Amino acid sequence: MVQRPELAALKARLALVAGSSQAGMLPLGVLPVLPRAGLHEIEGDVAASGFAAALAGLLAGGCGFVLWCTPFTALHEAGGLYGAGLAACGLDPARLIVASPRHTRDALWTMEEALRSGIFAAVIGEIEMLPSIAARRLQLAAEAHATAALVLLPPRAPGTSVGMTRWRATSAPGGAWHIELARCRGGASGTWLVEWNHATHRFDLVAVFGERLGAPASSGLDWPARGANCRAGETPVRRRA
Amino acid sequence: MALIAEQAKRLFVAAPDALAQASGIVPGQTLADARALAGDLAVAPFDPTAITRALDGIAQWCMRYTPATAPAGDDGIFLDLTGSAPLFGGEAALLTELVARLARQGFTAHAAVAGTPGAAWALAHFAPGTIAASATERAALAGLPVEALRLAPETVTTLHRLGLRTIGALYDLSRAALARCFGNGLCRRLDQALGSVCEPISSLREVPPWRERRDFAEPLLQPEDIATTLRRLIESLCARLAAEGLGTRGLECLGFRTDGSTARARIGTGRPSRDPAHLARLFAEKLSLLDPGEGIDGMVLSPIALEPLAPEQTALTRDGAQPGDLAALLDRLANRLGTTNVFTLAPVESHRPERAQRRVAPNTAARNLRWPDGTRRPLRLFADPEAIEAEAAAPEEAPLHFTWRHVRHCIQHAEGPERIAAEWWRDAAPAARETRDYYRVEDEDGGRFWLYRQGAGEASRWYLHGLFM
Repeated sequence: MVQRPELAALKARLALVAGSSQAGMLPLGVLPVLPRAGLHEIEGDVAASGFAAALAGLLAGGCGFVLWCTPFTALHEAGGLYGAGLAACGLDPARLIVASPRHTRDALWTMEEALRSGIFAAVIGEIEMLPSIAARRLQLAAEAHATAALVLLPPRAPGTSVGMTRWRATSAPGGAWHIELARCRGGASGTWLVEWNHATHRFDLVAVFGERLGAPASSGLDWPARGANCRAGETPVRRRA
Repeated sequence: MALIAEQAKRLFVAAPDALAQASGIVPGQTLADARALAGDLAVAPFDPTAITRALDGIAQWCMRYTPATAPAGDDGIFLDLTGSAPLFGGEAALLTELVARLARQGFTAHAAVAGTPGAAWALAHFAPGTIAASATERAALAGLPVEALRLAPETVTTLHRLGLRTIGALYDLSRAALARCFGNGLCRRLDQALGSVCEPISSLREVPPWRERRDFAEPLLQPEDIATTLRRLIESLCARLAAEGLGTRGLECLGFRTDGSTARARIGTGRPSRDPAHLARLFAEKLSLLDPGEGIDGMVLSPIALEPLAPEQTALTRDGAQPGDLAALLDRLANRLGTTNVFTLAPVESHRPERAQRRVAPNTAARNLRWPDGTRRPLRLFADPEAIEAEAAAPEEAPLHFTWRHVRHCIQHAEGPERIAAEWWRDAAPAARETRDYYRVEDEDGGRFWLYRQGAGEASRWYLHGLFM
């Protein structure tokens, strides 16, 4: 595939304009809209990194900067961020500043400084353990400067009830992702099976779990109906062959 | 009390203190002779390196008076007072203050001021307290002994034998005769002392002429006071830089403690700056280095490297944030996390995945660089590929399952191999020159991994190199 960065940027700008009808909200296509300002917790392994990269790419819209705070030890533990892979998620590495702190204390400081600068479209931080106080500080900084703070937590990490949303991202067979919105301030939770479309830089729905099944994908601008939680043992239904 | 040194298996007095000197003990005496003069003489070994260290420390402390200070020989310090004496109320006041402050630290200092380093050295050693105005060195030195010219001992002995005991006695002799008898050394020293030959002071370090200095009648004890003073120093320095259209790439702050030690803090910036708020904020992370201890009674701020900086940059980015804001934030991050730990990724032309990107300073990142097709590249790459146990149906086929970090993964789907040849022109080690066969595999839970096989047949080994989103 021939890469057309200008085209991608233009599309992203158009998406930005289209979404401006709901000020401060980022349309995610098949997923619920994401408030631009505030703390979002994303739990998971490499799938969470990919989801965060995709969200940050959409938030940046081809012209904003993103800061990614990845621990010093990631090179050997979780793996270092790889530019080609980030670009495939829709996050332009040239507009990504990577900070590599040695301690969680420094990582939280870096995130807060970045949020308070008001420069970035999104600030991503890989944090092993997020205390409530730190979460509150990030939430306040993110709200005050209309920036999205995306905190990547390890799988099954205890979360806080401070942020706007809490997501769980896991890899699913066939190149797909399970995306679960486990908690959402002022909205309902839900679970989706999505694919990242590398060409259009958007999420395509593969299947939806629970009551949202059958709702048109274009209604993604609204929050799903309350009580749309994933029911245990339910089989995903593929919408596309 | 005296410091003693061993020479030719005999102990000599190297440095007696004032009390010992009062008993008639002089340097060069044997310890036995000294003990005969003062039976209760306390002794300690003479350690030249400790003395050099102490002298360097004092020379650094003297930077409160001028940026150009340098140890002179093994017992003195030169201070180039050009331009700085008026700041202290004149040369005489400066001299009195310097000696008094050193005395409070426990050092007995002899000091003198003259128009040349040679004359100052001579006066400090043989007529301390003298202030010889420029061009009066000739008269000031005339009565001093010839030793004051920093001569070799044998030259001094010869001069004495000839009856030439004072510097004034040398003025009348023909220079040709002096050069013939004593070589060029004597003439050079005489010329240096009288100023007909220039003698540069090799300063401890190169210091730009831009510096801000404050002295305090009462030593500062509170870190908040240090921070406030630092802020004022930064503001006045930045005002001067703005007037000249300059910016600095960093600042160094020295704090002179009353006990003679020097506190030091440095900050760096990614690009030239003269924004007081920004520079002060960078120092906020380093204030612990300026610990007042028993009190700081002087502070000096100097820029590290100056560069031209256009008056104002007002271009706005999308969010209304100025481009300078990003640079300012990057400076703050780099100062706390380390310069190499804040970066941007840039693609590199290389087959080897670990070489296909490199870290670049965020300010230098080139835009619109072409990345390889990322759909076939992982999101996260391990710096060192991790050895795994893997099994394939046949030696040249895709793996069926593998064990990584004690977890067994059954492969449901594999794509590959993608053969990535070694870059023989770069790799010296034989193992690194082997071709790798990469596979993109997916396990039963949907986990996606990038594996490769290196080597052929029985000798092949499997590695996990990266993780796909």
